Formats: sequence, C-alpha cells, structure tokens
Amino acid sequence: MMSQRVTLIDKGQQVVATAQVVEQDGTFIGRIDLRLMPLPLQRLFEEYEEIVKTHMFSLLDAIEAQIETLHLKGVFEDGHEATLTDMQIYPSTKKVSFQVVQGVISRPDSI
Amino acid sequence: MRRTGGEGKQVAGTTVEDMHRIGGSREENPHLKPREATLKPPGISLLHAPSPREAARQIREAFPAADELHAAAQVIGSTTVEKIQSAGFDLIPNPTKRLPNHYRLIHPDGVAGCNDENLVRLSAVFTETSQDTQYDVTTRHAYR
Repeated sequence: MMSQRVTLIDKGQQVVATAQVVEQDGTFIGRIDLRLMPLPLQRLFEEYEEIVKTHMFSLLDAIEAQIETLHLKGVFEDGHEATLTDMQIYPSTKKVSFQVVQGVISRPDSI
Repeated sequence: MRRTGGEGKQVAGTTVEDMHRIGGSREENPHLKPREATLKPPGISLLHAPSPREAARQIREAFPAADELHAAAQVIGSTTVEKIQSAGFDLIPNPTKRLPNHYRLIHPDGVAGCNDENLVRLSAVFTETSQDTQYDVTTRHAYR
C-alpha cells in the first residue's frame, strides 16, 4: 500500500487540512494535520468523535448529514482533485478516513 | 422473529444473544449520556448481529479510523430481546445510514426508568465477551 499526501479543501477552495493516507479497499485511512482547520469545523469533528467513541449511534445521521454539506474535496499528490465522502475525522487521535466519490475526479491539465 | 425495520416500532423476542452493546454492559456503560437523555424516546445504542465478533467487525468496518471505538469494541455485552424485556426495558429498531442494524434500548418510563437500580437489573441479562483481535481469543463470562 502506497502512502500519499492529500490536501483537503472546502467549498471556497480554502485548505482546511492535510493528510497522509493509504487506500484500503476503496477507503483512504491515515493521519491528518488539522492546524489549518477553522475552529467551527474542528468543533464539528470533535462532536462527531464524541458521538462515535461513546457509541451514541442514534445521533449519527444528523451529524454525518452536517459533515456531508461541507462538500470537502481532496487534492492528491499527482494534482488530481476528487470529491470526498464518508469523511471521518478524529481530532484527538489525528486519524482520518474517507472515500472518493467515483466519477467526480478532475485531473490536472494534460499536455 | 419479527423485525419491522422502521424507527419507533417495537420488536418481537429472540432466544439467540444477537443484541450487542459495544463496551460491554457493566453498570456505567448502559447509563444514558446527557444527549441520549434528550432523544425521543431516550435510550442507548445496541447492534443486531449474529455474534459479538460480527458486531465488532461491523464497527471496525463502519469506522475504520476510530481507534478508541475499536478499543471499546474489544468488549461486547450480548443479550436477547426477551431478556431485555424481562429486565423491564425494550428495544426499537433505529437504523442509521451507516448502521442499518442499529437498535435503541429504551425504558417505558423514559429517563426515570434508566435509574441505577434498573440498570443493575439490565446489566445482569448481558453476557460479556472480551475479544483479543490480535490473538483471536474470545472469553465469555456472565456476571451478576
């Protein structure tokens, strides 16, 4: 499995985090650097982490719907940009997992 | 066994211990957390799966980067709907997008019913399984 760096950007093309991930069966998993993440976003993922680690799964749908509305994208090392889904960020352990929405990948301009 | 699958509908009993609580069932774990107390109806999460090992596997698959949850899932409390009902509690299906086999364990008296005395009774109907995923060891023990 090859580790790759991905830069997470928001709807306004602002960088919100960088991550070092490996792909396993369609899911990217790795470590994330949240130093660039705006505080409200950090708070959202802290709340998500709290729900997951205390297994309050009745609250999952609502917060995951909020996270989906962020429409985060990833810019991979080779320059291609992809829409990300199933974004899970755990700020206390600096772990991340996500998937790439198939068919929503833009490649860097080829010559 | 009858399962309707819709949120808020109650389920019929089973004899197989196919309802699982992540983190086991000792008295502190089934306690309602403040946000769970605001749910309608208030309750805690259980997963329906053929075995505790399968419940733990589903958790690892659904939350691949959630290290703390993975650690919690090394201990699983398992029971049946009938035993839950015998302890005065009940279950309703509460599927989520990520966990379609999610159920909510509730008490007919709501938050007031989830008191220490009732939770001790509830804990007694769970069998706890410790799983060492590294060495594939499963240890089951009931506690009273």
